[in-house]
Amino acid sequence: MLTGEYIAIGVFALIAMVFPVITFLLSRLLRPTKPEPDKYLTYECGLIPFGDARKPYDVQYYLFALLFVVFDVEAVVLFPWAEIFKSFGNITLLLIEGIIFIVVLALGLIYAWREKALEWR
Amino acid sequence: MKDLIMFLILSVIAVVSSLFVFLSKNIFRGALSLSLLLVTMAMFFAMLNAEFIAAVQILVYAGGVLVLILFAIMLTKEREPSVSEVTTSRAVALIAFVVLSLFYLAKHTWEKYVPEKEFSATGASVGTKLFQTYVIPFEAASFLLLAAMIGAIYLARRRG
Amino acid sequence: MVAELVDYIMSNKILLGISKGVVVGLFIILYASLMVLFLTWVERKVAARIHVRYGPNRTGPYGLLQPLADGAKLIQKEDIIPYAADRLIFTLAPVFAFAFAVLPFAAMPLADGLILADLNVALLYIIALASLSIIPVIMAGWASNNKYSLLGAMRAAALNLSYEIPLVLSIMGVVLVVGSLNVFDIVKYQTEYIFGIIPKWIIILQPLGFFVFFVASIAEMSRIPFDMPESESELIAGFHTEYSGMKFAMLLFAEYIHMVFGSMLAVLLFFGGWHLPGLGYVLSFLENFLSGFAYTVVKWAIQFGVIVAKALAIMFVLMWIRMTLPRARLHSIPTFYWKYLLPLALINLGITAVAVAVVG
Repeated sequence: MLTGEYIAIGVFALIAMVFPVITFLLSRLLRPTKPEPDKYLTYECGLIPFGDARKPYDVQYYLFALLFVVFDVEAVVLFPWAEIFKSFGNITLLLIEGIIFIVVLALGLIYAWREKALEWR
Repeated sequence: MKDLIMFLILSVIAVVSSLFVFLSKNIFRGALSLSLLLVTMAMFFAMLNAEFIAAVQILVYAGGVLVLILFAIMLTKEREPSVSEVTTSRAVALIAFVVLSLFYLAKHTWEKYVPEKEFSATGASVGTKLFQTYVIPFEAASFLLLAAMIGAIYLARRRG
Repeated sequence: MVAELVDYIMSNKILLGISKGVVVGLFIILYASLMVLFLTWVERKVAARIHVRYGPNRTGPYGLLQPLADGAKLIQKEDIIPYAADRLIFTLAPVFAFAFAVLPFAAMPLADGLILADLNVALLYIIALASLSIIPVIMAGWASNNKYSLLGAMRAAALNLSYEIPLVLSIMGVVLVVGSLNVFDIVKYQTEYIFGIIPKWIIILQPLGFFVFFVASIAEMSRIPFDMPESESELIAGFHTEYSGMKFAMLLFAEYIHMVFGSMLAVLLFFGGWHLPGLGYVLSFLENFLSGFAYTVVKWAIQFGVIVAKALAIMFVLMWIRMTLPRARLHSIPTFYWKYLLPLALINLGITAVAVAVVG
């Protein structure tokens, strides 16, 4: 079942991608092109660029990404909980379920804090 | 009819982008076409009326896991893979593909996957299922996430 | 003739979807672009006033035509792609940056009944699409193959990972209060009154939630004090160091559209959307004079105007913050978000859940 809403989003996505391309083409008609080797050097404050920019980065970034994915999943799972919360029959049960879930993840956050994993070095 | 057309368009995008993931020699470009594949999967879910899953697919996979993969790429030193390495990994991928699709075809038939008309997975219907029928798995999931988090911190601490 | 055509389009789901996508989509892009042009002027004017300067005042009245002059300048600039860059990804990054910046607007109501796509999971869709905006930034940084660009992109990604969880959790507080992921329902909820006088805007019910949301969305717009991706004193221009001409303009557009998006979301979720005390009387007064379609158009225009006015007020505060605060250190930002804002968001969620369970 394909609903009209998703067709609308698809059409909008196409327009949103075509719009920048049109401006690029428009600017191609108006702009000068005067190639000169030095123009195409990587900008490094006027010095001759050295080495490769794509150096290995710190493992720190990866750790934060891992934490992020865990909490992202948590947030996503809690969305249905938040949505049905008001209209649910047994609201106390739902509250306890949700609180247990949040507390378990808060434990993880406390562990990360104590292990100094939240410190950006 | 329009569903079929849409399905075919999306399938072509999905197949081409997943082929590109594994044929591309540039690992960064491969990861980007993986993101295209993930967004296409979300569109498939949306077509099946599973709107909630579609949004989750984009939020968790394209927004979260993909950044994780990109960071993993940034972590490692970029180098040109040797010819034998490329051949080996492609052979492994091909074998895995054949085995998995045979396994899949043995267990399922195509007719099963015609979506039911009245089926819809919005946040509310997922929530009702999750908190009435599947409460224990839901709470178990929180412990799984906790374990994943502790493991990640432990590994990163030891290496860094 | 026109009425028949409209009826025919309304009856056909595919045609309705396509025409909605084209008409409302073009309107959103036009609105976002005009807003960006206006904002560049406002930002410079506000900055100038806070610095006790004049700001742009030569082109047109009050310098209002300055953005157009800037645009005319940018479109004539030579397009330079460095040798070291990955040409394809370098070109695609601004395209996706623009597309991902405007796409979240699709599920945002612009007025009562005016929306591009009315989804059940609208709020989740908005968050999901907004979370994608990091991908073009990493694309731009990596494709430039410039040390500053890549560093800017990595910082942007790290910042993105830090702010998103508190942002999502603060929005969840709103969902708890209203009990729906549909933004229409959320605004409708806010049109009621507490004790008959105070408008029931969610900021009154969720002050802590709004604080978390606001601090997180400053980072979402990558503005000072959290503008790590392009801290110009350290990284030249961050991930768009190598960009020039229209490609640069598109990245700039995307950034300002994030600002429009963030403040519009704040208005819809926390400041009552198109609701304004007394506006209902004006609308019912107008209804006496205007017939069906004309009334709808006027109503939409007024309600959209209310949203934009509220959003502009928030944007002014953002500019004020930018002019007042220094840039935070890189090292303190992820720590701040994970250690203080995330627990605060969790506490807010717990308090809200208990309150909703008790009050009902």
